[in-house]
Amino acid sequence: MEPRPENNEGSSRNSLAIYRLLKIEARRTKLVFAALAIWSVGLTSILTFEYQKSRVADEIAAQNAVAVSQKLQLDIKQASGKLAELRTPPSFTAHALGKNVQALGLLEQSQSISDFIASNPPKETIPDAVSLLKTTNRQVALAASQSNLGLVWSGNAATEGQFPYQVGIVLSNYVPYAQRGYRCGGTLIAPKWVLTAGHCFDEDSQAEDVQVFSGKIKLSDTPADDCNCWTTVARIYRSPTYKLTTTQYGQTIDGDVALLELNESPLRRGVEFIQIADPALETQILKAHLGTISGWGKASSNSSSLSDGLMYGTVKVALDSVCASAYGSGIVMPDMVCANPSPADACSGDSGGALVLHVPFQASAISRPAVQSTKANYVEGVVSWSYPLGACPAKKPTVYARVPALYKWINGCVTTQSCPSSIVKAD
Amino acid sequence: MLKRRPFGPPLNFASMHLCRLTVLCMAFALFGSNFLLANDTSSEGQPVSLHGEIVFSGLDALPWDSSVRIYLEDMTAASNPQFDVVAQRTIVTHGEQIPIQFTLPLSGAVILEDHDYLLCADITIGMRRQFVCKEGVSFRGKRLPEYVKLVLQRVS
Repeated sequence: MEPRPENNEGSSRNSLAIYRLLKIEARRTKLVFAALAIWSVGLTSILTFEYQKSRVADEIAAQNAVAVSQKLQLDIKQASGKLAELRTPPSFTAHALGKNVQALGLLEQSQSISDFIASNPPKETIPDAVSLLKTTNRQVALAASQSNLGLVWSGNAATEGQFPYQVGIVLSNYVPYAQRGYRCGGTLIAPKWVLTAGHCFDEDSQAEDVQVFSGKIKLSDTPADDCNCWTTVARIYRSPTYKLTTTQYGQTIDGDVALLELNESPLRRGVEFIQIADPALETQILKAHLGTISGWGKASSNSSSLSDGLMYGTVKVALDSVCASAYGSGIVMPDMVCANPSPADACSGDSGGALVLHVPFQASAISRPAVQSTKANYVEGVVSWSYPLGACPAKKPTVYARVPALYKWINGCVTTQSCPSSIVKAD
Repeated sequence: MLKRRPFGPPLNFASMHLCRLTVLCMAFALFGSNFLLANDTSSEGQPVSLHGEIVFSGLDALPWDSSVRIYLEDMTAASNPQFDVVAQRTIVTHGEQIPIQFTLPLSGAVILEDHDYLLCADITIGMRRQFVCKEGVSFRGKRLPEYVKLVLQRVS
């Protein structure tokens, strides 16, 4: 029997078709495998890149941590050096250094930088090191503030009776808590009159809003101490020339004086008044060059609050031309006088306090010295404003209201009771 | 194999699966976009804050209960005479003197990119406002200033 050619032909055609199909499938499979290979290579590359990236990040973090740590130690060394340079009492230096040692101890607690990094995730390493640095800086700053170095005031704490004319102006609703209600300083210039800064009051200020304490050194005395030092105010007068002007240095204040007429005289043992500088004598008074300021203002650049004790310091009166050139034209007016830190300076809370000049006593020229001594003291200025705002010590001469320029008004109020005022606040 | 739909012509196997795949993709896309929106890490809603200090001219002291109000106004609604205060904070000084440091926390959502803002402050002593803001510090959108020095003006 002969084979059927149709069938053979058909089967070979089928085989060819199957072969072609398999070939196509093989190609597809190859493509799939190739795609899989490309995908896996790509994935591996991405993973490797990410791994390398994280390793580099870790290394950078570790290097930064080491750098920060080294800076920390360097800062501590520098701080120690600076503290030693300040010629501070040995106890303070020891205290400050003790704080540094304590801070260094914190570093040592972590055994070593590598251990420190190993025990902390890389992302947290830098903030931890930075916070450590901040802690150390805070401790050094705290030690400096605790030492009462008095960077502004040169650390001169007043003693009882040293400034018998100095008074404090306190908001009445705080009396007898002087520290809480303290607003400004002031100067007793006559038995019932206090000279202070005009900007301590506004147009709506009322006499009953404030009270004055005298013969008191510490603000924090409690009612139990019964200082018997409070006096109520009958009237508030502010200079009619008082004027605020907005400049590039903030607001400047012309005619920045005010007078408080007290209901009774606070004069007693340890409380005296002081004379104000007469314009006729000003040239001679200004030859003194050095003046004294006193007040309860901030006593150190690190401090944000008032000084508890009355502080005082020396300032150097600046020539008008020097002050005018420091501020530029049109800023310092004839009713202002300037003084440079020497090394003390007025700070926030000292407004209203006196700039007192000590003039060698000359009977022919000055006939009415307030204090019988070889020197006569005169109020030449009233603490007014400084620049930069809020900075102590100021970078430019501190500005005081010039008392001789306002003498006529002050003297008229005190002697004749004739007192024109920009804010006549008489009850 | 054919399957009859309740309405319309029957679908073959491939078309049916294509449909299923499309629906699945759409579902994934919807879910994915919601997920991304929910976990948006951009600064849109992130809390931010403004830091700075407040000063004024004159060396008078601030009594214990002086209050400092720091506020942020949206200046964009210029037609509105009272600009919207979008954030504010009041600090009682408790004996602190100038410069008074402050932080004003803000919700990132209230700061809009195309709006102008003005940061200001005032100080009240007793019951009276003694220092006010005459100029303030302005900025646009999310370009917040790093550290602000607000110079206040004495009222009188």
